[in-house]
Amino acid sequence: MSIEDIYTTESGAGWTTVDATRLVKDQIIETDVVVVGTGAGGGTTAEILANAGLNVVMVEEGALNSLKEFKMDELEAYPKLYQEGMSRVTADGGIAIMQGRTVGGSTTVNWTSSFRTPDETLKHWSSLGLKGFTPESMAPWFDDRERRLGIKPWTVPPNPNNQVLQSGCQRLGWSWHVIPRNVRGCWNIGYCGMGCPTNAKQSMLVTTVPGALSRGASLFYNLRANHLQYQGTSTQALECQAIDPVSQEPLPVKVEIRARHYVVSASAIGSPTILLRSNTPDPYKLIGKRTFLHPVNATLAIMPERIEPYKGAPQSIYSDQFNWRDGVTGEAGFKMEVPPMFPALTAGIIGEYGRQLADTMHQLPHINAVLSLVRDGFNEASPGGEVRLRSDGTPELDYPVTDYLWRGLKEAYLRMAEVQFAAGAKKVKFLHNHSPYFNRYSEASQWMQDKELKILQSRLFTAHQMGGCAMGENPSSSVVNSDGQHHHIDNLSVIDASTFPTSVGANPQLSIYAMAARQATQLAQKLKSA
Amino acid sequence: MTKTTHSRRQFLRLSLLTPFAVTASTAYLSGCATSARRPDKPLQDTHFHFLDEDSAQIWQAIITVMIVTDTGDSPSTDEVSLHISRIDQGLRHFSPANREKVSDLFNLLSITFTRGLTTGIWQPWPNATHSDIRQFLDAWKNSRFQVFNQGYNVLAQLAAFTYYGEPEHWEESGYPGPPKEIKAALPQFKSQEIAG
Ligand SMILES: Cc1cc2nc3c(=O)[nH]c(=O)nc-3n(C[C@H](O)[C@H](O)[C@H](O)COP(=O)(O)OP(=O)(O)OC[C@H]3O[C@@H](n4cnc5c(N)ncnc54)[C@H](O)[C@@H]3O)c2cc1C
Ligand code: SF4
Repeated sequence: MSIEDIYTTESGAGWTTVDATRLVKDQIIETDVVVVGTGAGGGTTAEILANAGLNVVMVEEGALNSLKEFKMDELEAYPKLYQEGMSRVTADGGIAIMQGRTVGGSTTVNWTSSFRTPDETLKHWSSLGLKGFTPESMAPWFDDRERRLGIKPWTVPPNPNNQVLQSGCQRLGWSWHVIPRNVRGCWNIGYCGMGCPTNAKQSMLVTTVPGALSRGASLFYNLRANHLQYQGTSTQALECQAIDPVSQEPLPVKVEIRARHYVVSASAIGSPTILLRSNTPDPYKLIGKRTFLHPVNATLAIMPERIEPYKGAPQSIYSDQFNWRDGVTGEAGFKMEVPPMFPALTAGIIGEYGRQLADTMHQLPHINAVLSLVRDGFNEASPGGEVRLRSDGTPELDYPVTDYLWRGLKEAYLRMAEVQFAAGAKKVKFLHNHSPYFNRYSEASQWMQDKELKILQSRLFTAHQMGGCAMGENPSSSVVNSDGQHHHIDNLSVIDASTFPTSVGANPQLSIYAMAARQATQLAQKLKSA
Repeated sequence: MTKTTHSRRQFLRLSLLTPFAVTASTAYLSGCATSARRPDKPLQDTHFHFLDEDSAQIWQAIITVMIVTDTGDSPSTDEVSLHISRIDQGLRHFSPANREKVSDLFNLLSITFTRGLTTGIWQPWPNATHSDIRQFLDAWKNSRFQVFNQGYNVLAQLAAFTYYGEPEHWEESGYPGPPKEIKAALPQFKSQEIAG
């Protein structure tokens, strides 16, 4: 099959896609359902509703970047495809937030790792009172989404970057497994984070959004959902505004959308922001609270062999050796994986300058990096962060790293260095502003044990934002119910990563797809029978 | 917890200082400007989208210390100009709120009074020596105050990310760029080939 940009070639002929920056006057649009956000939650929901015969309007704040824009160039891709031009950080600047802002949302830039929600997490959520989230009731929805998105364990041998994690785990007797990926006909080149240049990645951009469009849905992009208008317990309209795709400044044109039902899928940080801007009834002040990040730290190894960490499927091996190390609700566990290392990203995250920076960069072909996703939100000492509105109505996330998380991060630093030395690393350094390179694990371990870890000195990241509109059956501790239905407003749902009551404990995309498929299917039935 | 309040207070002090310093030192600054040594060669591209002349001058001084090229030298003036215009390009895509934060940082660094107080560099940027600049960067990097750590991280990240991301410098990190045969097989590179 030849590769083409489905949005600009024949395939897309007849699809209704509207660039809001080109609208010359305000608009009022009526529809059955409006879906805000076209990422994992929104894309899945829009397709299922459109397939059920409902009129669907998709609203996306980001631009329509498709194949023709995906040129495997970091400096071009990151500013265009990520929230705040890749400059999003937590309020104190301590955690860099990577999140998509483009049609397809974060799925357009994600690294294709596709895990079912761990049974431990589903059971924990069920114990919190969530309905329909037992491993048994979710299984058919995972099956369904795996089929839709081509999710299968990666059968190509892992690239050398992933092999380091694999062989280190083998030597230490730690568990490791092959990662399932959402790809069809993947070329194994590794540019998933800059927008897949071959359409192989089964992101929402090339699957469910086109699916919805071909069933008559329309897509408005460069259009920000500002706020919902309520009357009593019902939503009357969604007020939207065109946004300049580069500066992100609001433009004069406004679009008002009137629908029978409103689905907010603007993700963690994004969905609570819309609800906060709308003064949504929130008697227990829960909106925006309990936002989770899977805080990520990392270590860098110089390997004797060539690694070329910029080549090949970015993530294919993981280790859960320490993910549930102290039970589900005990000390913070972490999942170990590797990140792809392209030059700009590498130079940006190591936090050095001058000679030290150049010395590390010269060795890029021999660099391996390992990262840990720390599982936040399962213990009361990890209550997550809070989304607040800035004076211009855009969000800021305050996320304090608690002592509990620092303990988890420290243990993760140690284990990552251990696995790299076990795999034969010549030198290892922690991604920490003060860390030198170490020649032996004992030296690295001593340094880390003695170090008091602090924000802005430990280099921390997140690519997994969750929570802020927690699901639950009790309105005093949750924003929406287990179906994603808002507790206080009748015709309003939230369907995306923001409804998770804790973090997932695994890369979240398949958790979102499966949950959204179930919730959207129920919603379609409800709207059809009404 | 006490650390956070401490650094918050420090930040507050800085932000209180800034508006005061802006008005108090404008006259002072304009007096200084003429006595400042001009850079050997003016910046090539002064048509920035976001940066102004002052902030470009700061970048010019800092980059020659932050970036060490393959040969062990500082990058040439032309390279620095290109680099600054790429940083400017990246900043255009920052959110309005984050652009404002970067502006505040550059204001702090361009006004003599606040610059001297926070970096120890009292002379105009073009007169600062490499060792002055190194001292300032290390002080900010290792400071007890979060606001300075944050300033260091912003400067270091922007400079390093942009420099090593530029195709002209891929070779310095041994990165070969996207495989040629793959580009040849993809439609999005076709028009470019024809164009040259
Ligand atoms: C670099 C990177 C790598 C990742 N790798 C993986 C991986 O390998 N495996 C995995 O499982 N997960 C991965 N993730 C995470 C995963 O992609 C996300 O968790 C998932 O896409 C979140 O789904 P969502 O629907 O909640 O939000 P998103 O997919 O982010 O979609 C939300 C959309 O809403 C839009 N929006 C926000 N506010 C508004 C508004 N006011 N009006 C209109 N639109 C709005 C946004 O622009 C965005 O397009 C990665 C993420 C990143 C950034
Ligand atoms: S590795 Fe596969 S999915 Fe990722 S960018 Fe390359 S072709 Fe696309």
